[in-house]
Amino acid sequence: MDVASYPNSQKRDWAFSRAISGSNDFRRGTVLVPKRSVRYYFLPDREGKRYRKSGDCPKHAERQAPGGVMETGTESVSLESLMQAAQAGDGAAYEHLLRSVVPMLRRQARAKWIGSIEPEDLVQDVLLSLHSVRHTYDPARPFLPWLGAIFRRRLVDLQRRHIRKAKNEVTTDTLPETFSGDETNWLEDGQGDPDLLKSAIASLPAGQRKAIELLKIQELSLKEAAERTGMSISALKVAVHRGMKSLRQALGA
Amino acid sequence: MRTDELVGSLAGDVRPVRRLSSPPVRLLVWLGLSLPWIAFIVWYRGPRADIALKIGEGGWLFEQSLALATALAAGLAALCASIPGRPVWERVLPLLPLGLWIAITVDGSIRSVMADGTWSSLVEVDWVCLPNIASLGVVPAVAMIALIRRGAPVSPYTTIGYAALAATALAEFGLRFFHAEDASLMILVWQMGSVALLTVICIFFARHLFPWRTGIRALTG
Repeated sequence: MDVASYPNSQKRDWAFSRAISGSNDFRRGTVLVPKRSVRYYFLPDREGKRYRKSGDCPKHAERQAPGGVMETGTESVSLESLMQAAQAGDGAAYEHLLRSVVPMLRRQARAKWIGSIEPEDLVQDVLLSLHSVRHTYDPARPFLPWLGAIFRRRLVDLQRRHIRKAKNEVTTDTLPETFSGDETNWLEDGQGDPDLLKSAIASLPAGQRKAIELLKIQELSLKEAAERTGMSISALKVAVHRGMKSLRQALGA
Repeated sequence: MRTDELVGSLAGDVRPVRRLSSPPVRLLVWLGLSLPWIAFIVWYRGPRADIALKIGEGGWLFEQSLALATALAAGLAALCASIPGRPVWERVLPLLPLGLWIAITVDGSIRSVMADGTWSSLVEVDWVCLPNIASLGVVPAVAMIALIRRGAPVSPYTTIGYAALAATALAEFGLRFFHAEDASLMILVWQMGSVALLTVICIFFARHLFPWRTGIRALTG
């Protein structure tokens, strides 16, 4: 595995996944490749995009944080310096930093998450947590292990919450009971103008229309509908609820 | 809310933050708050009559230094554990003085039993150790929890456990300046037992004492 030949995004992913696994090698501030005696420095060459072995390193070269180099044009900006600027209140640097870590977080969340739920919640949780504890970052230390520790903790917390919730909930597409009021049963009693209903359904937003068609008209289960649409079960439930509310308003019920 | 919108919202509300001081500096702050309280309690209760003799006693001094070393190492470990990404060896550090402290006390207890008789004849009821350690440890505990809450709860159980150990070990250090019962078995059962019990109780409440704060305040902070 020659990390030096990877494109930037893969280098950062590799470094971040090492940071999540708690690798001490990473914390020494260098990237270790299979031959431990060789250290790679992230140095821009004339094109600004290539990396060299330490043997080629000119004396004035600056050692960059491994995996933390982003290139914007010919300028290399490290995540450490962005975080430092963010601690000083620089909104642009902070936004740049967050946008660069989000794809990394998303990939690691998909890799580590146990279960079928979309892990975007985890990514947002990590961002909020990063924001709330940004004062704990020490600029003298690498950024990715700091972020990796936050990611590991939030993953555990969210996974536990998800498992606890799943133990106490049963997914069902047919509720055993309903309310007695007419307005909660109007779609089931078979009365009303079918053409009016069809045009009301056709006027719904695409996501809600699809959810109504699959769950109420074709009477698929939530799981089958989720597989067919690629939406999560919770997103389908929200779409059906909103669709029914819109239909009720449209049909004047 | 979509992630893009969240990023924009966080970046739009970002303000300068006061960086957390390094763990050794925060440890000094903790000592500055805790030691005067310990000294006050020792003065209030009155030092033991044989304190001058004890200070000259090598064994007593060694046990006290182990108690103090455990308190300092545990305090440092708690402060380090509240900062994400720090090396793991910092959390293992307190186990060394703690292990030595327990080993010395157990060794002394075994020698006492072998020399003098059965366990039950040597262990007198001394319930007052528990409230003594709790009262001595309350200010160090509150100070330590206030300091670690400024950090990040990436290891809440470890952090709170070490914080409680630091406070109770420091309390145990102070206790022996006015509590005259020095038999190793008594120390093992009542004093170290109190330290262990209070530490375990605190660990149960770790997630409540040290939660993630990602609500509105955090977003506007």
